Amino acid sequence: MARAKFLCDAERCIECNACATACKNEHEVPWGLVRRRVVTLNDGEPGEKSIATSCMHCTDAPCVSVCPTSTLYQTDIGIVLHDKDTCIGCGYCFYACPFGAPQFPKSTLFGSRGKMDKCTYCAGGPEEDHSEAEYRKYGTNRIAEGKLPICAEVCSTRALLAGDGETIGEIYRERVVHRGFGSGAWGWNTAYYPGDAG
Amino acid sequence: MSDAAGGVRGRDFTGYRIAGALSALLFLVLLAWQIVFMLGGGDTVTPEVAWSSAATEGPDTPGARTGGGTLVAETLTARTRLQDERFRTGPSAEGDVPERALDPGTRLTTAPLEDGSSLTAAWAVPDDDSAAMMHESGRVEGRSSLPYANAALFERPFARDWRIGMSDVITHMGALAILGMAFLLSAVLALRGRVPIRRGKSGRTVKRFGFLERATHWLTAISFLGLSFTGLAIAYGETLFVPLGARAMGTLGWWSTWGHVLFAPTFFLGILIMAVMWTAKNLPSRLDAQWLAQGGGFFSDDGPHPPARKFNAGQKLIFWSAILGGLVMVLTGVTLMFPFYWLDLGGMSWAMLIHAAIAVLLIAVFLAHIYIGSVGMHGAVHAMWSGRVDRNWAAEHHDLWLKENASDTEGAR
Amino acid sequence: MNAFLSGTALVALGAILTYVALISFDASTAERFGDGSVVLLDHATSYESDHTSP
Repeated sequence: MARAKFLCDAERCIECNACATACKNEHEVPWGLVRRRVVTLNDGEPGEKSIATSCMHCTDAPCVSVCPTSTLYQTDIGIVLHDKDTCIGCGYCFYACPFGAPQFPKSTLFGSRGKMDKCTYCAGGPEEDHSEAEYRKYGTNRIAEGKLPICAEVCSTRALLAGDGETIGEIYRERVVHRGFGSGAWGWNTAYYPGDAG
Repeated sequence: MSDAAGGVRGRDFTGYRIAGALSALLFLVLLAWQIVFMLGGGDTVTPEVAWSSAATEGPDTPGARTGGGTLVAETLTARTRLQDERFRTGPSAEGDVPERALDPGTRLTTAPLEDGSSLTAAWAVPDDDSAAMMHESGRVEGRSSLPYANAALFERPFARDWRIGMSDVITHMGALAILGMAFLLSAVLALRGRVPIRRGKSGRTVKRFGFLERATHWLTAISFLGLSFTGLAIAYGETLFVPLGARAMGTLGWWSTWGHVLFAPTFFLGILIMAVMWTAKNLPSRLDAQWLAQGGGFFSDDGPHPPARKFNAGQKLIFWSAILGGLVMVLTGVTLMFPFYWLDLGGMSWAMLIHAAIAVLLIAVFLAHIYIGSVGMHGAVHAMWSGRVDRNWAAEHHDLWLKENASDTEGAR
Repeated sequence: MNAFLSGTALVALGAILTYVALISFDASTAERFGDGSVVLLDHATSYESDHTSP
């Protein structure tokens, strides 16, 4: 069984923001929302690293656990999806997310924050696959076509890897052995192995 | 007319006691269910939807669905392989494209999944290779070229703790506190009956609360009820509205999130006026210790009732819960309404936890207040409804206040 | 009784005023960053023009 994950090789990411741009374009993500973004650590200093981040589709996902309306749900390959029709904009997922993924179209007030939006792993939502409703709410559904998230597939340095966790782990490890260094899979401990954290 | 056999006893309210017993039974069942639910370990998130491959035969061919999961895994893994080094795999000219990786006819569909708990358990344990390659868990914040608040945050493991605090601790403890309080109050009503007016009603009343006091009380009370019901609907919606289906749950939740904010300003106004109006009379005094030591006459009809001025120790505790608890609720609530205006994400997380924890406590405490002001005590409700209480009630519960005010409140009805 | 009704009426009034206030002060996340740091455009999605349904 495959387990979908994201892995960003911080030694390879060049902060070109192609992933973020491709994501925005692919899903027509509304202004004010970003499903994928690039964070730069130690900017301008020795040891500078960039990491592309988004929803990591966690194991035992905290957002799913705290959601008071069962809006969020997980699929059997680990992808965490949401149903914008039942979202009440309470923001619980926003506080429970270790990666700052859930976002809201309205910035001001509790009740009027609007429907939550986050990375869908390019897997759409509960609507019928490739329907207009699905596209308008969640963007394209690439998984349904057997494709992987656009952000990883456009990555020019192949820093951002998506797909089966075991496979991307192998690719990454071979790479690290070959070049002799690597800072590890950022965020994996928090995202995928909750019992193991600390 | 003394405390002898002639006086009214709490046990005489038979109808109330039967209702109390039934209610106690109901809350006992709910309490037991909550405890079973809590210990059942239903808090781990499990997958609810399964992918299957409709292959090229179209999405609804039943034959294609059997063993679909393996096909999905093969398809996605083949596609994942494409991201390997370019000399090794396609779509470069030299590489071999893994089978199935670029199949244009691929269709993956989803269907509900019965029980995904084994998947979560399997995912949660890293194999040796994965364990060796992980970057350690920790808070990581860098810089981002985006102007959004919080965009520079990469990782925040505290969110996992927040989830435990919210969905495992506060939600369960809150349910225990609220149901437990409801059960205890029902049990007291069943066993002991109402707190009686021992000498019966005199038929003569004295003025206890003026119009402003009562209007403020109800202003705050209605706001509090509105906030409680909408808040409970948000916090426990998943459990409470399950029979209504996901859509109805979403709609009710949407109304609740909106409604929750609408009651807040009047609630704040109410506690402000109450603070100005009643603080002086609610400062602790030596009488309170005696009152508390005797349990306020709540549990037994026997013996002399502890003396009290306008407010007894119990009412003072309620007053301070409303003022202090209310202020904390308003402060954290307003903070949460305006994300990032003065607190960062960590601060807002704590505000949310405090908001939820104090909320369930306040609801439990005010259940007791509502009980003692209505069914729990004979004659008490008139104090806030008409503002006039029976002289005998006043003499038993607020004897010192009655003496102080005897001259200017003389007169019937 | 009168006090109860007055309190209730005041809550209702407060709720209506708050609702009006919320609606009028509401801003989208994009507008919040409307200080020039984000270019705001209003456009329809390209679903109609270039999305080919399967």
